[in-house]
Amino acid sequence: MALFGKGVHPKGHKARTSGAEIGVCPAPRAAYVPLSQHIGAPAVPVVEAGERVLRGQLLAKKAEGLSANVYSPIAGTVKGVVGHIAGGGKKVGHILVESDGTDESVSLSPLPEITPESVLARVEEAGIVGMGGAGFPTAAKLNVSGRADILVVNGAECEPYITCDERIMLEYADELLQGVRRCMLACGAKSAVIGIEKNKPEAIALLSAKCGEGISVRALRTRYPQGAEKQLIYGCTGRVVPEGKLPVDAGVVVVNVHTALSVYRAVDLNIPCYERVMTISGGAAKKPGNFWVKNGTPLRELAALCEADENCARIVSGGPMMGEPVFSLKVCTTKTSSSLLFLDEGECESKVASVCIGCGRCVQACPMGLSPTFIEEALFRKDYAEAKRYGAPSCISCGCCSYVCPAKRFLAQSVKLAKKIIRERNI
Amino acid sequence: MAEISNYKVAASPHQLDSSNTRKIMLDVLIALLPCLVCGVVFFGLYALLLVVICVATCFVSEQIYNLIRKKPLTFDLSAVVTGLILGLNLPPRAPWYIPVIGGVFAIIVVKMLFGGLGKNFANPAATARVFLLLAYSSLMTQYIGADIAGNILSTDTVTAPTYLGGGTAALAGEFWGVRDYWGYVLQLLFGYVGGCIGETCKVAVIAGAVYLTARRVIDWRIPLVYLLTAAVMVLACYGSASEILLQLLSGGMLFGAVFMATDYATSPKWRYNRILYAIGLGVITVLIRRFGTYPEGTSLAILIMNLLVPVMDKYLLPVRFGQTTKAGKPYPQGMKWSMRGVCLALVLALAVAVPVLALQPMEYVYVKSAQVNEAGDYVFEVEGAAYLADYDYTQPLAYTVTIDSEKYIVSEIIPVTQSTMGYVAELALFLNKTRHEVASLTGEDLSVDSKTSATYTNTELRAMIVECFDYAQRELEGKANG
Repeated sequence: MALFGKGVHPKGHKARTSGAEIGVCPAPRAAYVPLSQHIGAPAVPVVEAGERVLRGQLLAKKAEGLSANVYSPIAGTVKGVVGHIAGGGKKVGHILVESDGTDESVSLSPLPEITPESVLARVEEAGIVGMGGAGFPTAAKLNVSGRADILVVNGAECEPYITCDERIMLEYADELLQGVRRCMLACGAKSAVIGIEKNKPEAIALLSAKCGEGISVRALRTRYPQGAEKQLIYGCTGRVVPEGKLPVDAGVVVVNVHTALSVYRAVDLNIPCYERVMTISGGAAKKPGNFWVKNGTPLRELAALCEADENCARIVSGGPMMGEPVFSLKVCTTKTSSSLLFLDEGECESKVASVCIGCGRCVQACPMGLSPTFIEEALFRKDYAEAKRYGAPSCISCGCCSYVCPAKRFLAQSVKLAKKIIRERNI
Repeated sequence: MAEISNYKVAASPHQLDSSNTRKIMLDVLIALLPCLVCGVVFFGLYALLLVVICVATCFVSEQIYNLIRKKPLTFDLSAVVTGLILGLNLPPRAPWYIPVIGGVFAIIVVKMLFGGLGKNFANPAATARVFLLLAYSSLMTQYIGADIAGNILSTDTVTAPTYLGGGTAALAGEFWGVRDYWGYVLQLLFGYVGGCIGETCKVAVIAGAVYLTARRVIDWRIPLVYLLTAAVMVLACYGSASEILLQLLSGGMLFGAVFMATDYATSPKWRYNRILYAIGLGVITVLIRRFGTYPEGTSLAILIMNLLVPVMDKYLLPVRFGQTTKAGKPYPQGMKWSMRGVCLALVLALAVAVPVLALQPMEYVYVKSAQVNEAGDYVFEVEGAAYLADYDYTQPLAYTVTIDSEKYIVSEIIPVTQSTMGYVAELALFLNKTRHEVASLTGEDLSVDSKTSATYTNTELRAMIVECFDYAQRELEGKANG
């Protein structure tokens, strides 16, 4: 088994929700659907204030270039495009839909025939984006014109706490595999590898039994960041994506298991992408679990669903390693919100940085082979060329360096900043 | 904005490793405890006093420096670690001011003036030890013999030589009933020898090393590759396989490899740089021991390699994941494979050379015939020659030597051929002595009769008798058992 070296091994915390069947989060009374739930330009609204929409009806159309369609998660009345805070802290355009309680729905028109072109068109039409967290429009990713021969499906789920992908693999195995086949068809890959960390033995056993021809399951070492794109490709295929290149340059396309499931729903069930499975967990959540959550659900409703303490030590959207802290529960879920964590005092540390003792643990831990401590030093000296020499532009922001640092330095942030400056100034 | 609530936010990652600077330093202190306990048991409470003075000096001088520079006081225990390591590196009967001077030098000059914790370019304890060695050469090389509990309350300075300074003569001939070579190894291993307070008991050092490795505080690569390189270097420089264990277990090599070479700030950050660094340490230590004027080279080697660390860290970088050359080819993993290759070569060299040297039939220069007599004792006929420089004359010598197989002592020496002019060996010097005692006879002991040239004859006879013992041990005992 090919392994990437280094990385870290944070405590899993998955036991609380890994056995919980996926429930359904009640539809919100008022859904704030962000126009920008993906990488690229925000979608352009196609509905007007006062218009009645059904669940699954197009709200906003993809803009030119990289973008994705946005669908209504509930049936109700459009109140208009409003400014509402999003996860990053910016006020961005959301379409406010108020529920009328009918939950009437509309589906996409069935595909007349399944061809690579029609599947690609359907993936684009359904507004599917990378649901592992990156939010890259899947249609653009799958459209590689035959340059990829392997499809890697990311079921690693290396972040602690999160179990939504594991539950999908267990509960929607057949649908997921069908989705994988649709993705293979769309991108022209001859085979597919589903990479799953060894801490999910049930999922490995189930998918190995069901996967059939052309698809294989690869058990990966439980090690963060096993699910990071380049590390996953290396673990599943042994191929190394050259620096500054895309996976397709190594003949690989990567999709998340949830993305594959969404592809199945769009192609075979004609359901566009307006809901997803989320894990809600953390020590301060009394009833943690995995739920189908409609896009645009305010986080406060999720907190109420899990009887979580809003005033806990920290609320995190996404995993504890890379997730963003939540500053307001008015923020709404998107296609890429994989989890919401209510961490109590014992689970997250409020750190105070002290001086670097030069232990070199960040260098040992970095899965990309960078030297975070020297990058930070160079950054503080404003010697960006030096920071580049130590590899700052290759940072994948996994946070391993900050995780291991005994001096609790903000290494990941320093490297991220150095990377940003190097890119902006074109050093 | 009203929408922003009063939640606590922080940068990711939100989950952190539980280690911190103080916990790491505490782990090092715990790992040093066995060394301290053994040091006190072997060398008495005065040794403990020295260590306490050293720790206190280091801690206080760091706080004084902080006060002068108007910086917050530091309680990360790093000064305590430096103080403890330096204290354990002192001779057990050093005067009280030695740890004070050493501690101030280590903390103020080596550590704080360069920016404090993590910024020093050389290991404070190793540098301070080298400084003290240069400034107080005689005091710093005055060792006393180990004595379990016998030294507890004493402050006597009865100097005893160490193996590095005095060879096997500095060791006891028998330890726990084990004679000669393995006896030397055992007493070095358990630290029943003269030396610095904390570094003599290798069992304690190994216990500390195991603890630190298990707690992932130190990188096992540094001590392991250091000792491996040193072993091969001993083989190359001394040409003897039996010397390896004696050299590795004597002096401060093991202590330095575990506690000083692995110091965070002054060792490289990348694992393959660490291997290179450790190889350099091994080479320099043995070169100093073998060819330098100092019997001990560990601290000096660490200091020299410390100076190379910044260069290594700057120019020998880890190969990034997916890094390519300008031609688009995968970047060659030069350091990785060369370091792995060197380590493999070192292991192979040891694995091949040690058995070859150990199994090689010994060449006997003097022993002409050997037999077991009816009493079970070993009788040897030995022949040699002594060169009398004063007369430019080579005197042929021949003796019959009997070794008691029970007590393992010289029971009888009968001259067969010797000087007719009275330059005869002083047989009483050798009778009823063990191999160790015979081998430990110094030139002074042998020149009993300075008027005559019997010294040459005595020296030659000593070599003859030692060879008889070796012959008995290797050839006759083996046959008796076989």
